[in-house]
Formats: sequence, C-alpha cells, structure tokens
Amino acid sequence: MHLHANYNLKFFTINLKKMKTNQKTGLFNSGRKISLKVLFVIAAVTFITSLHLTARAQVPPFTQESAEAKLKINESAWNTRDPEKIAELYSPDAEWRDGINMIKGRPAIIAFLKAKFAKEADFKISKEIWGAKLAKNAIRFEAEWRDAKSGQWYHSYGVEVVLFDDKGIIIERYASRNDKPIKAGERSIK
Amino acid sequence: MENKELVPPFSAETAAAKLQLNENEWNTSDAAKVALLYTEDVEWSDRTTFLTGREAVQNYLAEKFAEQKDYKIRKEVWGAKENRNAIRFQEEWQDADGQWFHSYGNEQLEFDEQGVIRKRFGCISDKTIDASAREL
Repeated sequence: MHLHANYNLKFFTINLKKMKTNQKTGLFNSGRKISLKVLFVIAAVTFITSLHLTARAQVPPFTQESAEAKLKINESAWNTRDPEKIAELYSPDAEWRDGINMIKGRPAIIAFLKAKFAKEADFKISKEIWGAKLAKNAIRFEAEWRDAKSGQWYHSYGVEVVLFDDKGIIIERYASRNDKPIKAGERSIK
Repeated sequence: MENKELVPPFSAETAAAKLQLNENEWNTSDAAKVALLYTEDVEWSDRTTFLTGREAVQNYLAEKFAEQKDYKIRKEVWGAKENRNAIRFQEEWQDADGQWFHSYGNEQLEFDEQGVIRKRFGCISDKTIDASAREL
C-alpha cells in the first residue's frame, strides 16, 4: 500500500539528483526549465495517484492503522466540499442515515450533499477512528460551519459508523451529529 | 450472565449480552440506575453536553427523563473490539406538549477492566412523528 508512495518519492529523488548532475555538467541546459516543470508535474500526479491507490488498497479486515490511513483520505474528500468527490467514497447503492435523513444511492447522496454544503458554508471536518474491526469502523467527528442564511457559526459533534465492501468502498453509513452555536472567534478546526 | 461478569475483551456475543442489560436499565427511565452503568469518573457526552463523573451524568439523565416522557430505547451493537463498543440506537418519547419524537443515535463506549463504562460519547437526531407512527 505504502510502496507506491515510497516508490514515487524515490523516483522523484532520483530525478532531482539527475537534474542536479545535469546542472553541474551543463548538459541539457536549454531544456532544464521545461524538464523541471515536467518532472514536478509528473511527480505530483504520480504522488496523488498513489494516495488514491493507497485509499483503494485499504480493504477489510481493518487494523487501527489501515482504518486511520483510510479515514484520512475520507476526511480530505469531505473537506473539498465536492459532493461528487465525496460520493465516490460510497458504493453506487450505498445506504445512508444522516441525521434523520434516510438516503439510498450515490445520486441521492450527491443531491443531499449539495443541499448540505449550500446551507453549511465554510464547512470543515475533523474525523478520528474510535474502533475498527473486520469490515466495520466507528468514527467520531467534529465539524465547523457557518449557516449561509443567518451567518451563525456552529461547532458540531458527531458519531458515525460505516461498513465497507471487500474492495474497501463504504456500503453503509449511519451518522448523527449535534450542533452547538459558537462565535466566529471560537472556531478550533484548522 | 450478569453484567459484572461481562468484561473486556468483548466478542460480538458478550457485547450484545451486555448491551441488553444496558438497554434494560435505560428503559427504566431511572437516572440513578442508569448512572451506575458508568464509572465514578466517567467521561460522558450526550449531544453537545460534555460531562465528567457519575453524579453529573445522573443529574443530566434526571432532567432528560423528566423532559422526555414515555421514553423507550432500543440499542444494537455495531461493533465490539477489546474494550470498545460502537452502538446504534433508536428512541421514542414525547415532550411536555405531547409531541412525539423518534430519535436515531450512535454511541461509542469504552469499558474499564471490571466492565464498567468509563467513556461514552453519544449523538442523537430527533424526528417528529405522529403518536400512531411509534414503533418501539
């Protein structure tokens, strides 16, 4: 799982070394600026791809460590506030309870998230693993957001439980959250 | 098995057996009885209220059960590992105005070596329902 990332980092290091050598010897000087840019882009793309592969590679049965690594990817996706991106964490026919809303399937999840992020501006979430066993995870989370209409800030506390399929995609997710009004200066999630 | 015999590490079966006893206590709506499920210095949260200690929990629950009449809860184990459990639950109750609610919640528990809960974090979402829509 982490091999991809290590391999890519090595790849990146080797290329940097090569570039330094090239600089010293004066070879390929004309193309140096371009190759730096190209190499950076290649390195960035392969690194991001490896992160994605890492998320995919985290499959049940989970350990605390593999669950934590997977949750990090999940948290990052939620923090993009991009419904399409978040929906990819869940199977096409995933079953959700979010608060009192029962939601089934990716299109319904996307619609729900669009409405959610329209109401909850500047949404930010921090998640942590409570427990992980076989295909199930229990997660605690805290979120902060601003009511788009009233401007009131909230700090929310939540608990979610998720069930993964054998490919590491979430097929069930049940979450409850309680919201505490706060002042803008009391925000604690960076 | 008695509650004090059900200690970590938990299997799905022992966790389910212990949760049944926990559910029975909650269904008494007796704050003093429910509070005994938790250690003297329990770290405990419900919704956005964070408390420390059994006494604070008992006071909180006494208020809760006074506000939530005809309270009924059903719990199920989502997962159990070593000394931690993840639980899903549903509650039904009515407020002082007679409005009925069906609530959905999750809670996470951590037990001490004697099988007493030393950490509890609970979140709940309330849906208003007609009296005839009650399920519990």
